[in-house]
Order: sequence, then C-alpha cells, then structure tokens
Amino acid sequence: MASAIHAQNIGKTFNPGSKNSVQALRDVSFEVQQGEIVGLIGPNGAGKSTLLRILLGFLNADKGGSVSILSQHPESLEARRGIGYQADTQFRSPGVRTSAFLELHALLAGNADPTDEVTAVLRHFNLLNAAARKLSALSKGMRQKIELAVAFVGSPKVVFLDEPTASLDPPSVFELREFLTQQKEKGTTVFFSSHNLTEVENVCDRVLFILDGTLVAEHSLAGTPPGFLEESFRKHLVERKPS
Amino acid sequence: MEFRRQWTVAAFFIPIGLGALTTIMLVPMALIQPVYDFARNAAQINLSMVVPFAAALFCGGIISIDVKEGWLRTLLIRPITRQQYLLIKLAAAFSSVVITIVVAGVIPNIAVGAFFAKGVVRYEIGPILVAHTLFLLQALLIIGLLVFFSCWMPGIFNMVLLAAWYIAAASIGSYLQSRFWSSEWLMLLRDFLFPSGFTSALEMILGNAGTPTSELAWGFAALGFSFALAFWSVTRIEVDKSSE
Amino acid sequence: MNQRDLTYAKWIGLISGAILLFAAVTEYWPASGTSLNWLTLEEARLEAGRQEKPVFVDVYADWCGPCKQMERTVFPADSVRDLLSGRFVLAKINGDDPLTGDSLKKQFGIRAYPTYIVLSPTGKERKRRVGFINKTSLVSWLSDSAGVRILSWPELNNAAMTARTLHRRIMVLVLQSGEDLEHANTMFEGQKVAEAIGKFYVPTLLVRGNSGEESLLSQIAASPRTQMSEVIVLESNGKEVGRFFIDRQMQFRSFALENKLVELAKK
Repeated sequence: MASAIHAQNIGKTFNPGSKNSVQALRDVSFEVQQGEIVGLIGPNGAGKSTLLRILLGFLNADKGGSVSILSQHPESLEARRGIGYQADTQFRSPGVRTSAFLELHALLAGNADPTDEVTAVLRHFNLLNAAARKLSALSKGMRQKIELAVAFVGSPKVVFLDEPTASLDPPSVFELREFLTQQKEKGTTVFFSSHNLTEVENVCDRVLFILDGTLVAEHSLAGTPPGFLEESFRKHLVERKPS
Repeated sequence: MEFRRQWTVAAFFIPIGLGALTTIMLVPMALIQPVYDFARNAAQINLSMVVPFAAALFCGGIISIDVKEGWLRTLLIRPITRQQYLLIKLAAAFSSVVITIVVAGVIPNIAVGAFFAKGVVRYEIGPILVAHTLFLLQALLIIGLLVFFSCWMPGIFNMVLLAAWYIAAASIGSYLQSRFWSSEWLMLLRDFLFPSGFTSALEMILGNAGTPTSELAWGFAALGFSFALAFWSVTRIEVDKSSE
Repeated sequence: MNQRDLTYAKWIGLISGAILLFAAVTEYWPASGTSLNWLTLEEARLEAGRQEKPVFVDVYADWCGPCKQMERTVFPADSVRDLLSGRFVLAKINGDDPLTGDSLKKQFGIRAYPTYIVLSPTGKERKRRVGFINKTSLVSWLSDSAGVRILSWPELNNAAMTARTLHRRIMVLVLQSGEDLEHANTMFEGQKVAEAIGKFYVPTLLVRGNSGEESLLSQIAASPRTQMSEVIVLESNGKEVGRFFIDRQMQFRSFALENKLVELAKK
C-alpha cells in the first residue's frame, strides 16, 4: 500500500537562540499507510499539535526534516486537495454563518455547487439546526463538531484530527467513532492525536506514543489482548515521565 | 466573504467618524478660503487623515488577526496558495478603504463645498481625478506596508508603528534639512525616510509644477516593494502559532 | 504548485527594482539642459525693462548651505528651469561681495540667505521668500501672480488724484519688505477689511526698498524701519489724519484692523 503520510527527522525548536527556547520535537520519523487509522497519543505538552501543524506546513520545521503527504510536498496544491484538518484551537470569527463557512470550504475544495454537499455533511454531524447561526454564537462543543465537519468536506483522502473528542459530549463521541469506521471502509486515512485511551483503542489500527517531543513507542493494535494498550501506556508514558 | 468579515459593527463607525472629522476640518476652510478648490482640499483631508487612518484601522491587523483567529489556518488547508489568499485579502481591504474615502473624503468635500463655501468653488474634473487616483495608490502603498507589518506583529502595534514612522520621518527629515544640508548622503537618506512619491507627485500636479515623472516612479517603486515584501512575508509566516 | 509559491513576490520585486532604477536615474541624473543665465542686478534691470519681464533675484552667500542645495537640486529641475528661463530675467547677488554686497543688502533689507525676490519689470518688489524652497513650492510661488491683489492698488500720485475727485481719504500701507506682501494681501483682501477700504478710502501701497519709493516714504513721514507694517491715513490734500502699526492682534483678528480703519475714516 502507498504511504499516506511520510515524516522523517522532524524537529522543532520554538524561540531558537533565546534563553526561553523550547525544543518541542526532536527527530520524529514515522509513516502512515493509506486507509490506516493511526492515533498519536501523549500527555499534554508532548508535542502532538506541534507535530500535526508541522505535517501540514502551518509551522516551519527546523532544517533537516522532510514530510510528504500522498507522496507530495504537504503544501503542494495536489496534496492539499486530499487533506482534511481539524485543529485543537478553535476557529472563531464574528459574522460568519456556519453554512457559509462550510460552503466556502467546499468551494475551495473544488466543489462548484456546494449546497448539497454541505447539507449532507451537516446532517451527518447533526448540525442542521446550527446552519443559519453565526460561528461566534455557538457553544464550544458545537464549534468542535463544525471543525470536524469541515475536516471531512471535500471527501479528503487523508484527515488530520487534533484532539477530536476534546469538547464533545459522549453521544457525539460515539457517533464520531461510528463515522470514522465508515470512513475507514471508504479507504480514508485518519491520523489523529488524543489523550483518551478508550477512543483510541476502539478505532485505531495503530498508535504512536509521543513524550517530550520524541516518539517513544509504536504498536499495531491488531490481535492484541484487551488492556494491552493501557499497560503499554503506563510503561512508556506514565512511568518514564519523572525522568 | 473576506470583505464581509471586515465589516464588523465597529467598522461601520470608521468611515462615519472620519467623515465627521473631515467635515469639521473642511467647514472653517470653506469659510475663509477665497477659492474653494475641490482637488486641493481633497488632497489635504485625504492624504493627511482619511487614507492613513482608514488603512490603519482596516489593515493594522489584517494578517495577524487571521492568524490569531485561526481563519488563515482553516483556509490554507484547502488547495489555495498563500499569494491567492493575500490577493483576495488585499482586494477586500482596498474596497473597504475606497468606501471610506468616498464616505469620509468625497461626500463631506462636496457637501461643504456646496453649503459652506464663501468664495468661488473651483471644480476641475482633471485634477480631481488625478488627485483621487493618487489617494488610491497611496492607500495601496500603506496597505502593502501594513500587510508586511501585520505578518510579524499584532494590529495595535502596527498602527502605533505607522504613526511613529510618519512623525519620525517628518521630524528627522526637517532636522536633517536644517543641520546637514551640506552632506549629500544624508540628504539622499532624507528622500528614503518615508515613501512619499505619490504625495509629492500630487503636490507638483496641484501646484502646476510640471510632470512629476520621477516622483511617480518613486511612488510606484515603493508601492511595488511594499507589495513584494507583503507577498514574501505571507509565504514565510507560521500561521498557527497558538501553543497547546 | 506549492502554497508557499513566491511568483508574485518575485515578479513584483523585480518590476519595482526596475522602476526604482528608473526613478533614481531621472531624479539624480545631472540635468542635461542649458544652465540658467544669471546676470548681475544692473544688467538684469536693463534687460527686464527691454523685454518687459519680471526679474528673479537670488541673494546668496558662498558659505550658505541651503543656497548650494537650491543650486544643486532645485534650479536644475526641468519645471523650475523652464519657468525661470521662460518668464523671468535672472539676477544673482552675492551678499558677501566686497564692492556691492553691503549696499545691495541694505537696499533690499536682506536678513538671511538665500533670499528670493521677484521685481516687476519697472524694478518694484513684487514678492519675496527666504530660505530653502522645494521645487514644487518654488514653482507654485512663482506662477501664482494673480494672488497678490494689493499690488494692483494705484500708486500714491494716482491715489491722491482719485481721492480728491471721490472726496475720500487715502490709506497708505507701508510694508517693510516684499516678504510681507502675501501676508498683507490676505489681511487687506479679507472680505470685511476690503469692504471697509472700498467704502471709505483710496488705498495705495509702498514697499521699503523699491527704487523710487524712498522719497515718497520720507514725504509722508513714514516711521523709521521697524519689524511692523504701518498704515498711514491721509486727507486727499496730503494732510495726515492718523497712523497705526499692524500689530499682532490685528494679524490674527481681522475685525481689529477693520475697526481701526472705520475709526480713522470717521475721525
């Protein structure tokens, strides 16, 4: 199978050269195949969001690393046509209506007549009642759902989700899990970050553990006994943390 | 969409407030001037007030706000280049400034000329058109500079910076003029303190001082460089800096 | 294509580089046209009488920086050169000239360098500016001849004649130099003041330093040279009615000047 995401030697230092410089990522390399659902697990501040942002070109990585998405430069327009992204910090802008926002995204993704697609996506995420409301007037959970919806507008091949369940209520988490399984059947690659073990255990093919900017372990979840992930999580992330 | 995002409730007060200010400025001028010269008065209010203020208020944080709100990030996940994004942004900002010039610069000028002018009202279409074209170019120049600034710094800071630059350029310019007139190089430096090509071109045209070829060229060169810098910075910046 | 594509930036940068080069060349390229033909004051006066052109006088000194800068950056500019050589006879006065400098400085009341004076073809001072002038201001200052309306007031002899026939008084405005012309013009051509003058007086203007006006000044016993302009009101037969200096208050409030004029008209 072709690789959907390929990352090699990614490093990131914030404020390089100053005394409060922080090395957020060091030497991260991994690969995700097409059609896989991969979870990126780590405690807060481990570098999950930074890694996602670098993969997408929103942050400039330190020199020396390389990323390719769908065998293309991540910021090439070809790759962009196949990418969906949900960020952990929520987008807010006064005066933009939900439907208009989604329509803009569908339009930019190449759908010249986006109304049907947007309605379908809204229905899928139970957002039809929010369609006419302004984004800034919505609750945190609603906005999170809209960001998720945006990530799937334009039928992307690779979807990046940053803490997708962070402010969702339990029924929505359940629906999301269903939805991701459907997407996997369609062959969509999903790469998401999380600190919620259960959700990961239920949908992922594979997990990557990240701690202090370094990938510390990688597990395929096919055929592993229940509780394996928790044990590994303790071993790699909890017990090593004090050092 | 970009255009609509600029017009928040507060934004509606910008042209209206500026319009009120310019009217207050124009009425005494109309009362004492023996000849109410439409183009000249337009130059006075637009170049000194409307254009810089409108540009600063609409574009001070033109990029930084988009970065902060995550808007730029949501757009750039799609297959558009950063330059395309900036072009649209510029078009929206420019239209807003044009509307402000009309509301705050043109309408008060016509109204005051019609109702308050004591002297003859001089209304020559040629100079007026030239003057307003130059305002628009000057507005573009300032917008370009502000885009460049706002790629790296937040909006309020940029407005302060622009104001400080204006004042510094004027005072350093006159200081150099009075103290170092004998030094060729320092006088040359004076020409580069603030890009004033369009302004001095307009002065020359209104003063019937000949064709301002080199002034216009300076203006266009400055305009071009400010745009080049703006485009360059937009492609360089990190669009999602918020920490985890 | 990559999102961080720089095509526009590169092209715009390149084009502006070219324009910048063009601007620099047009601005700093040494002027190719003929240089200006500067005469001495005497030559210029003769020439001006012959051609019926006004004289543009540049009073300078060798050590004066702004003078040099005018010489280098303003006079060579096409617009300035065309205007000067086309409409004026040009004269240069070196204020430090050991032979003529002092007397000319005294005659024109020169206080600083550079001083630019425009004389009428008959040698009367029309206007004056002191210090560096950029080319735009210089051109508009030189082309703006309609502005100074007090210059069209009749001369003293004619004014006296008119005053006799109209049974009015004569108002003599004495200016210390042509530098005050424009300022005096705005004051005396202001609506209310102009109305008062039109109603009660026949106005006339004398400028210190104009050739031939010194004797007239002493004839009406103008006060000795001060910084202020003076107004002297005479009966049509030449007898003095009253006089006053134009003080700071009048400069800023036109009704003070108007009141004074009305008061002297009724005295």
